[in-house]
Amino acid sequence: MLSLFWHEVRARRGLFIGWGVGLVIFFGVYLSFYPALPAEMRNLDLQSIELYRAFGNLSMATFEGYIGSTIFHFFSVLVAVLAIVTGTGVLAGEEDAGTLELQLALPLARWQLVTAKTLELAVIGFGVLAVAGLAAAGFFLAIRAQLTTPLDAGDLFRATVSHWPLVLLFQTLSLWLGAVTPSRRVALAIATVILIVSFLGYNLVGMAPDLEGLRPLSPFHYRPSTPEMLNDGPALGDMAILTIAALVFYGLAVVSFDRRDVTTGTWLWARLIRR
Amino acid sequence: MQVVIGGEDSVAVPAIELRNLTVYYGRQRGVEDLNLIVEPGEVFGFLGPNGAGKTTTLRVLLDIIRPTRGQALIFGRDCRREGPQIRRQVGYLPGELSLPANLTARQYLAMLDAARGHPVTASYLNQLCAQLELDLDRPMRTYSRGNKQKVGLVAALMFRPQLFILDEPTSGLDPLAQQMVLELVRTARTEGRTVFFSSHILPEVQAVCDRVGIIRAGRLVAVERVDALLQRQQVHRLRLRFAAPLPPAAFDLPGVTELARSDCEVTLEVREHLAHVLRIAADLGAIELETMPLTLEEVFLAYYGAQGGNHAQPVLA
Repeated sequence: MLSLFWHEVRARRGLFIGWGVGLVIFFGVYLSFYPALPAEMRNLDLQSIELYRAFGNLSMATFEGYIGSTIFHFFSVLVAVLAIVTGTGVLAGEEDAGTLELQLALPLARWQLVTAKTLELAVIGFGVLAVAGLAAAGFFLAIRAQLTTPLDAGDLFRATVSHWPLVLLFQTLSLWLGAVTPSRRVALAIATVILIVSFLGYNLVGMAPDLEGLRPLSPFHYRPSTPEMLNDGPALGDMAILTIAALVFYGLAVVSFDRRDVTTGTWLWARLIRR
Repeated sequence: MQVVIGGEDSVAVPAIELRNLTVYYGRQRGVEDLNLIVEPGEVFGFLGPNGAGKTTTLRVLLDIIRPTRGQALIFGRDCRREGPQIRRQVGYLPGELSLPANLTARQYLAMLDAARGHPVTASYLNQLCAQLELDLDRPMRTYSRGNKQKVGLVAALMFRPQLFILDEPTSGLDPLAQQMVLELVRTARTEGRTVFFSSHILPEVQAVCDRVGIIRAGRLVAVERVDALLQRQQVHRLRLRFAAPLPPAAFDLPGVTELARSDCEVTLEVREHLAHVLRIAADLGAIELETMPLTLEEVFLAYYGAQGGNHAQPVLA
């Protein structure tokens, strides 16, 4: 199982490099942009604009506010997209591509295959976040002299890497969807809808006090990089909730894949329909 | 290898056993009530047109698809419950082979070897590659279809399993490589290994198989020894020569087709009334009679012709 895992990680190094470079550019653009922001723009009350409120508690008044509410806000969506792409890429993507069949011919139980894939996803997620975190810290050091902030480079690295449970949650959710749906395309579509609904829903619900109680249903409620968390570190309870949810989806993926007729391109429950 | 169970009264355990194996994909038929035993050391050809259920059966044996009803066993073990243990002894070549494009064949085969616990010896791997004229050190995205098929074959053969399950193994190969694959199958048989070999290319089945099973519309319609199937042919082809020119319509009988005719010679395909045809030939003063053996391909076509067909004709080599 471990040899398959290492092989898979090596085989996906292109994806790792691609996402790593993309996130380095993301931090480079956003961080180097902040010192150039004119004072009147920093003092804009973005919350008074309905459209901006739909994207969350945006603020650019302080560097911590900018980092926490703007950069990491969109970063969490970006890494969720990474998670969905990678999560549906294994099992469902391999089944579509036809490369899964020879792996199933190996003397491995299906739970071992799903576990190897989950470990691979976890390593890819962590690796990409670590690269992005180093980039965030590096770009921060480059502009540090122009900032007034109690944050240090380590805070940015920690805030970036602490997105790992969120990434893992969307990865295992996508992995599970890949095990129950007929194709990667369907799994990708459903996972994307879940991402959009949970992200926009989380922000829009914040605009209606009566619906505030729904916020904990969104994974973004537990994102680890609010302005407060940048100073104090991520809430371990939130990270634990995301990790437990990820483990639940891993378990569902194991159970679902064990019942799947691979290569048939059918829904998991298709075999329950008899002639 | 002869796998046995029990003590002094031990019996050979079939290499493959299907018991009322039925697979549906929802409402769609895969295979229905397949019952089959393949003995250890046998080369078994699994024949049928596209869509008949060959690949479904093979995938059930690998536990890639699960039976709706019935059971598939390999060396007496249930393919569903004991899949990982079984697959240690099985080399599999899928019919629709896809390989990771960004790896070299050597990297890919090394991964498969490691996942199996390193049973592959370098010398045997090199020997196989030399036989198939395969360069392992190029990225697989640069391979032709035939070379990819060779990688799949090496992946199935390199750890010397007791059972080979090969889904159309010569597909995409040039004629020389096809012969080489058939040679590898023959070698496997001489080493006592079992080969379960799906194909719709009949001459290659005829060339290497001990027995064949014919599957049609998801049902096993015949299991025969290849020689017996050829002997039990339902169609006879005769070439007759006569001393004098033949009258027209001399053999105009139901079930008899004239394939060729000249003044004093006729070639007939006889499905019925063979005795009557021979009587007419004698009455007309036949001076020479030659029976022309049918190939398995022709027997197969005759079989399907008699049974109605599966909306598909075998693809002839």
